[in-house]
Amino acid sequence: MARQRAYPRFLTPGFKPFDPLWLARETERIACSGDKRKYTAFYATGVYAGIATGYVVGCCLRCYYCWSGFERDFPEFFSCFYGPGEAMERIVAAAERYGVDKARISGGEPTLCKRHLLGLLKAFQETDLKLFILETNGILLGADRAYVKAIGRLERVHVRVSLKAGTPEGFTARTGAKPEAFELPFKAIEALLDEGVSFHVAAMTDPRVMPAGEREALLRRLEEIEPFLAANLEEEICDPYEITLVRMAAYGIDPACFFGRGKGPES
Amino acid sequence: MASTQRASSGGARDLKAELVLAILEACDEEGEDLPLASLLAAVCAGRPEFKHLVDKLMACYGDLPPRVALAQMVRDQVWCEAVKKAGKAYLSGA
Repeated sequence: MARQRAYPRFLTPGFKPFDPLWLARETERIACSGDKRKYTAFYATGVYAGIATGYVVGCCLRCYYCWSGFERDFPEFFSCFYGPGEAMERIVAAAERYGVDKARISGGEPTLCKRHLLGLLKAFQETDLKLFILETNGILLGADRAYVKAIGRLERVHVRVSLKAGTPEGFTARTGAKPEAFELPFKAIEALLDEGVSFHVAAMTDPRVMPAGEREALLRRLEEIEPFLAANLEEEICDPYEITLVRMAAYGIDPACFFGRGKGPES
Repeated sequence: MASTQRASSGGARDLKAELVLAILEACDEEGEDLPLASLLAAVCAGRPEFKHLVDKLMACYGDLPPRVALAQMVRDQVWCEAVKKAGKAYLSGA
């Protein structure tokens, strides 16, 4: 009898690449229940000039530079389930409290728990909020055209696809996912374009994470799909959040060296 | 100005494309934490020729994050051509 694969947590040296669609299903078994999803908090932050945010649990990638909390790797330890209407009420309350008119869910991969997300976006349609920014790694949207179509039918939803790599090898080294899955976010981009969805692309192109040649490959790939996507690319920088330092150390990267911090005046 | 030349090479000035190119270039510096309105104010300081276009952009897209605004402008018939032209000019100078 085949041994069941252990649930991936932090990336470690010599890790075995996983199928992110499998990890999505495994994570959904922990972080979703029917149309409910686990959240850890609801509040507004200053990004996008102010946005009310529901913080969700669980992801289908394991990027070593990720700044999401421990709920990405240990979703079992976080246990507050919210239905779509309930979650949107909390997001609206946060928006009112902070005087902002945009919404998102973050802290995990928003497209996990499809029933929950579509319910949440439907509930959003009934609010006075101006915009919902759906941040995604594009894995599940690339694998499910019907999901993209369903999102495309909704008003005031803008998708932000965050690419992790410009080559399959870079994708695996950074995310832990098998190289074949590298194509999925690009399929998502093509589907979003075909379906006429408002979206833009972001990428972790920090030169400490992505070599210059790989960044060029990523830009070329986007340009082949649609030149404006490459021109409007939002390039991300890796910051030294505590959890990022922990993940780097677990992966065998010295965070002090990575972030160029010396050992002290005597060194 | 290099950016102006890039967007208008080969003919009469295309103010819309010049403005979008200036926005794309400003996005590199400012990121997504400012609304487009703030970026426009900075981009257009001392450029009165942009005023009527800026007023139109402010009204439709001013409170959106800049890259979200650009993504919506490319789907807007009024701005689509200028955005695509500026995108190509931006990439040619990248």
